[in-house]
Amino acid sequence: MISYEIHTFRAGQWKADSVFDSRDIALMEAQKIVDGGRYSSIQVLEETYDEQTNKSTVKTIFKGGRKVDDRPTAKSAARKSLAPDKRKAARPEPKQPSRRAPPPKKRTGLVLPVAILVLIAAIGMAALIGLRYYT
Amino acid sequence: MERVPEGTERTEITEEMPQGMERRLVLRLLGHWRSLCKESEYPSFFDLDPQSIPDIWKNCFVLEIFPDGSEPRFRAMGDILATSIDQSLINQPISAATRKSLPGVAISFLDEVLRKGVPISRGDEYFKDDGTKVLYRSILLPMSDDGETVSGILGAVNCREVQEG
Repeated sequence: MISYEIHTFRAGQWKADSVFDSRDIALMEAQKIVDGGRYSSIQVLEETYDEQTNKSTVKTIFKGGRKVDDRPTAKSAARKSLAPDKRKAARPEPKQPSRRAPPPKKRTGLVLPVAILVLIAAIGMAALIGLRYYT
Repeated sequence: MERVPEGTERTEITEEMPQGMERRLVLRLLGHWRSLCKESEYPSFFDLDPQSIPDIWKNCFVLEIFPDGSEPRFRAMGDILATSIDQSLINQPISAATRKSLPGVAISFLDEVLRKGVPISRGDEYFKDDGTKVLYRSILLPMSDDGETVSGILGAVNCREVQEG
């Protein structure tokens, strides 16, 4: 029995997307996914299952989208090989920010406008009282 | 599988079915399913509107999958599928669908879909009681109420009869 599985590369790993028993349909759908641009990389795997031996053979028959290099890099491999203690030492210590006295807070300019408003209100009140007295 | 009556001429189908309506049906439904998924792993039945896919819906059906593992049941069926069987399968368990019926053959790989959790499309053939060969292609699409756990299946099946003799 032969199956064709479409796999998409997402969140850093290959995941099964869909399965078909027709090579043409699988390739057609894979191309549609590539054209859609939703996933960065797509591949189609042909899996042949031998009932007599109970074994499967898998081969890639299509790759689309951006090239994905999911092999470990030399840097990541070296990082993994370090013991935890050494890994800690190898990592540079983050710089501590220097402690300075906080700058003095500036007074907000509210006193003057409030004083002006109070003065205007007082003048207004006086004028009203004066008008009542003389009329 | 029932034996074909003696004397029937056998026509060997060496090519796959022509790229006509049959394949486009399952792929169109798959495309619609993908559009409903958005950012989730699976779409919800709440987002499925049969009126938005009137041509496809005629060949569709819906299964409810129960979390306790009890037998899935048919919950909805399009007109073409419904008329292809003698008795309604709505609210019936999947075991009620005979193997020589379109709904019955369409769900033959349901276990695989539930195990892998991805859409699967398969095609095959079966013989009706009168010896007519029926070529079909179906697709089963996992659906979910919470976007993660499969709680239902949206399926579709299309077929072509090959008259022999």
